[in-house]
Amino acid sequence: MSSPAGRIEAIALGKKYRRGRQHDSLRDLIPAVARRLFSSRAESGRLRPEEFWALRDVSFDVGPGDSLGVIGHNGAGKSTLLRLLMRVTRPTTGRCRITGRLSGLLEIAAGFHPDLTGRENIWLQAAILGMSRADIQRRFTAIVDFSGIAEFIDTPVKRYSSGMMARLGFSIAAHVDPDALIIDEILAVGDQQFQAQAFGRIRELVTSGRPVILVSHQLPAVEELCRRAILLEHGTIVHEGAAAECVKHYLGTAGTTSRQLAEDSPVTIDAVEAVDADLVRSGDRLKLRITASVGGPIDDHLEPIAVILRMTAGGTILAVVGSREAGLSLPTGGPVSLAVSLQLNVAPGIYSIEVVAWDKKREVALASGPPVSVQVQSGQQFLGLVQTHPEMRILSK
Amino acid sequence: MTATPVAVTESTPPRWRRDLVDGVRDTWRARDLIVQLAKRDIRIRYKEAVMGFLWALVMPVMVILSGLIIRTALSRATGGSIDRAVVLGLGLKGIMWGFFSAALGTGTTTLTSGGNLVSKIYFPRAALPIATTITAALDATIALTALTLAAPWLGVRWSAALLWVPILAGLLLMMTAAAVLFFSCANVFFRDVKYLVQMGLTFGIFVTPVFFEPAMLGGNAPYLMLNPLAPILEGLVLAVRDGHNLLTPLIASGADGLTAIWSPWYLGYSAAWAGGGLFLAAAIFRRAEFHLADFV
Repeated sequence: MSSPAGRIEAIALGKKYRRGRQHDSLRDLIPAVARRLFSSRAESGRLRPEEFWALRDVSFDVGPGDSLGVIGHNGAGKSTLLRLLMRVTRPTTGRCRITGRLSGLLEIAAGFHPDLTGRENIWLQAAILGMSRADIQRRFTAIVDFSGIAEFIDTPVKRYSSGMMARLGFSIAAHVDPDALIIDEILAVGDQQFQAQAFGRIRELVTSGRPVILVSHQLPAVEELCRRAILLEHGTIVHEGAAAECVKHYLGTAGTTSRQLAEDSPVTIDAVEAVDADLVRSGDRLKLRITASVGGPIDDHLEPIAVILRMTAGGTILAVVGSREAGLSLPTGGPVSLAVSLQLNVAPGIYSIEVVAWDKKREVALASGPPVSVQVQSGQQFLGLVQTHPEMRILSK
Repeated sequence: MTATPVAVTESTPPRWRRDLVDGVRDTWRARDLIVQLAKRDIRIRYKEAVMGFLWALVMPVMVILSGLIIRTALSRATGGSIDRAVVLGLGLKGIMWGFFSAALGTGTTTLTSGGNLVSKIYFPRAALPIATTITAALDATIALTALTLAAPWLGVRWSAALLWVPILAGLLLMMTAAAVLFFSCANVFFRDVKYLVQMGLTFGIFVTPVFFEPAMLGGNAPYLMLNPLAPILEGLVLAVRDGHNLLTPLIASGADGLTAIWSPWYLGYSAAWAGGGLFLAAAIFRRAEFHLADFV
């Protein structure tokens, strides 16, 4: 086993992205190059209108024996942070320093080729993850044993079920034996039994003294595995502390950052607050108080206040409701306060609520309010994922 | 675990010189990966293919056959003759051109078709185009082996000039690697590049002396040598077929006076393209490497 000498440091890390399409064709190259030539170097810290910071000024230091959880809403910058740490992409500002060999438990089957056998794919995928020939040779048996699919190891993976593919992918990633580790949402692969086995392996890796960063929506896992955590919101760290305390902060308080995404947005969403959201059960009503300012006339294709209900894990949008749809016309000038109530006929879990001013024609958000997270507990009203308002009667005896 | 020194990796905004040095080092460290990727390409190609490795011979054989048709037509018009030496020349140049076009043809899209991989996991990206080049080189090696077996029949001259073969092959390998590195990453940023490359390969065979000999162009032959591939292919034929030492010029006297067929400067010109091209392509590739994931 490697000595616990690894370290993951982020120093004032920032990453800028451009909204919409990048230049994809030679036609767009010339203006882009001309702009680059005539603009000064110092500009990298500033934003052009179509640019935004996916991550801004993020710093942390995870040394041996430490484990850091990264939590936040969808689009808070978690994936960008992962990509920067894994060197998939480069920072715009700041830097990350990785001491020792870093490995990630993420995208575990990305390198698989369907026509190759499990055995051939282990060699390929392990090499992609940075293992040397000797490393692979030594751990080959362990990888196969852990995956539990030894009898299919010489079958092309195109004949594998998705569960088998995930098992094999996880086994390879979990046997890289790095000095530092990054884990992304992979606690849910394969069947129940394999999940338990995988979680056991992750716990083993986390407690082995290597520095670990866990990026996850599964808050209980973050609380169990991480010593401390940071909360990201719109690309910046808004809270850091002990894992449990950070999770509580994430669920308990509304976010603080509201953003105007387009300069000509006639609406800004100033505040979003969940009222009495300490204990929400499936089927309960969630009350929101939204404060917005309407500066100018609102076009027909603008939904000034749209409330989006999203499943935090996976990011699926479950519902969108709008003030225009609801027949409200907002008075112009000065802040407007709005009460919204939604019946959460959803399964227990963590949900995020985003309030935006939505341009239906351009399909972009012009302004967004601070995101709110709600933990829905299991209720008495229904079982399963959705409320079906069941009706049953006996037709004949 | 062996007591290897713990390496510190820094990911910073791009810097030219350091990036190039790091790039070469990272690519060297990824040699196991390159081998695995090349193995993958070969396995996939020959899996469930009835003819297996014979496919490596099909392309050069096709080039020789089409070359023979063209040369027969030419000889009817000009009154030359077709002999074994022509077949040898066509075979050599056909294999080399086949290597270049196969490597560039498949290599250009190697980063975009591996997009899923590139956008999600870090590994030295150069491993993908380099592996493609190696796969194509293996095919060429099989074909060259077959040609060597036929060498006595084809009239190869056993001379010290044969020592030029590995040198020329090395230059071609460098030039091909440079082109594959450059075009594969250019194709990520501008998707029109692959059409450009396809077009270039389709018409390239007409401005590269594969089917014909530069001497046929008479006084215009030196212009053909501006194509950096031309001196390599021509030098190969001169060394193998004629046992010509490439450090000495070769001038043929024909009906229309003296024609310069070979000059040592041609070799220098190609070597400059190979060396300079590889250096530039590697620098550009490394520079682009960390933006690839944002575009793929």
